[in-house]
Amino acid sequence: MQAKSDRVAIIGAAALPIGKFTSPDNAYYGYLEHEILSRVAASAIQDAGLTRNDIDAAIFTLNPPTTKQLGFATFMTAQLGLTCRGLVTEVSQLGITGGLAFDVAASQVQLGYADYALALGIVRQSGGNPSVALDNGIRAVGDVNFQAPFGIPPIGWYALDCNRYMAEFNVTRESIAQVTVKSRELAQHNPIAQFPKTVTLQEVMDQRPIVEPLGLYEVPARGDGAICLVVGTEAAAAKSGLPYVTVNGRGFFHEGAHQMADQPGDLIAFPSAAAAAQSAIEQAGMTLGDIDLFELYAPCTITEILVSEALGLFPRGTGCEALADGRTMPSGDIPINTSGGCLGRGHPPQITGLYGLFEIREQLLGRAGARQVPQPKHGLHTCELGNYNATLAHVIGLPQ
Amino acid sequence: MKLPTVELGLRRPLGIEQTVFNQPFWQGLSNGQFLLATCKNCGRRSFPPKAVCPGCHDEDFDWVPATGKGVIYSYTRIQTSPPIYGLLTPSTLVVIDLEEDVRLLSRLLPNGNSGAVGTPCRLVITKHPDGVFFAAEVI
Repeated sequence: MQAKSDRVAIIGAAALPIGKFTSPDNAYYGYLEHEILSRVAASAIQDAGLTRNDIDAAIFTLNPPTTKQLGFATFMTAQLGLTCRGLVTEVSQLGITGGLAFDVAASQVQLGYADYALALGIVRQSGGNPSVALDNGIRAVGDVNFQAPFGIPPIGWYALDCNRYMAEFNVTRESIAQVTVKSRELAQHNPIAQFPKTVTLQEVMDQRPIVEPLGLYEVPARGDGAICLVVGTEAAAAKSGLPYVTVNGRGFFHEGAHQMADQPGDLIAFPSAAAAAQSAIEQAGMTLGDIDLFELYAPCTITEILVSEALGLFPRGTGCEALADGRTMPSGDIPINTSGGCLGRGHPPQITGLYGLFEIREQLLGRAGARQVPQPKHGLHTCELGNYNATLAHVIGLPQ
Repeated sequence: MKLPTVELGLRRPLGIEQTVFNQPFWQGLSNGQFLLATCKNCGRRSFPPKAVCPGCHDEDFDWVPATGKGVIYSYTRIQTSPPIYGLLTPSTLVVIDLEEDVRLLSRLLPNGNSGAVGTPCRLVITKHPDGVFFAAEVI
């Protein structure tokens, strides 16, 4: 267990509602990435009770290929007038990118290279050519010579998971699709959600197929967002008098496969999720039962079910029953993705991890309104890449 | 034993980068065989072929023909693809466990049989105007 004095705290934050920034009806229409993110970063620094002179490091998520401006981290550092003795860089590795920016920023503080660091990023790609985005996705989730020629997109792998799960555990698509109904129900209470309108199970089932068995509402939509978290030492946070949360544990695990192992095995057990979460929880000096809420990176309905089972929250094959019983709602015993998750809050992929951490902070500080979990003290966040081949997990807690 | 060959009038969606290392695999496809890189040191078979054995880091391989027979582990039908894949959309993709204990991703050619989990299938070689590739069909 880390000594209290060594802990890193999230001291400030700002996040924009997820939506399509390039649509004329969006509040951020007509602005470029650096213009939008500058204002978000300034808000977060102000929220932390700091000024630009206090910031020693800035870790950005790598922009999607739709962003024209390159050298974005150093460019933004000048836009914000920062001078940094700690790192200024962009980080990237598929779905863990957002969590990785946070992890590096926290490490900078922990290593003493920064008193305060930013973890931030923007995704503004909804106006880009969907084919380019899809082509990039296809090349990222398969061997470009032996798998990508089949045209499997990232969500296609989750669809493979889904059919396997349905066959192996005799579970229906309807049961799994309830994840979307729950996600939208929660998203209606989240002011930064992309999809704040509820849907019925029938509406989910009636959508056109995308990657069968999954239809339009069971896979993530394109969404833009911008977010900045400010981290610093817990000692500094305590001195500030402002509300804060702490990073109590952290874990990472890569299972050594890319999308799937080339030898037969269990494709849907997601062992990296279990290993990373266990490391994070152990480092926090806790057990799984001590965690009050879970923000789990889950682009598709099936992903939320699989990762919840992988973590050991429910026996395998029973995640949908737990969902149907309301156990994963804020009022349940194991609240999962109270933000609305990727299907309700939205999924700007590179920064989804930062949005997940943001939700845990909102919950722990009691700011989650109608989706508030009763008096939570600890939350677990995961983000992943591939087919949960690697997981980065953080335990976030209230100061004790 | 040669695998069945199917003529597809379509170019392969992505240009294939044949290398000095993986040349035997592509040569094998041209000759009607699906060759598995098999480590000379530890016997581990891998696909796609890897330049270093993921089991023992040896760099010498035998290229052993697979029977092509396997079972469908899972499947999906892809309805959305970029234009370069367009002519192949929608397409059924399958994860196959071969008899040789190798798992791979493939397209399932439509032949009137469903590709449900647990269905026996076999690999076929597909001929394209720009070269060869592979797919699978239900048997």
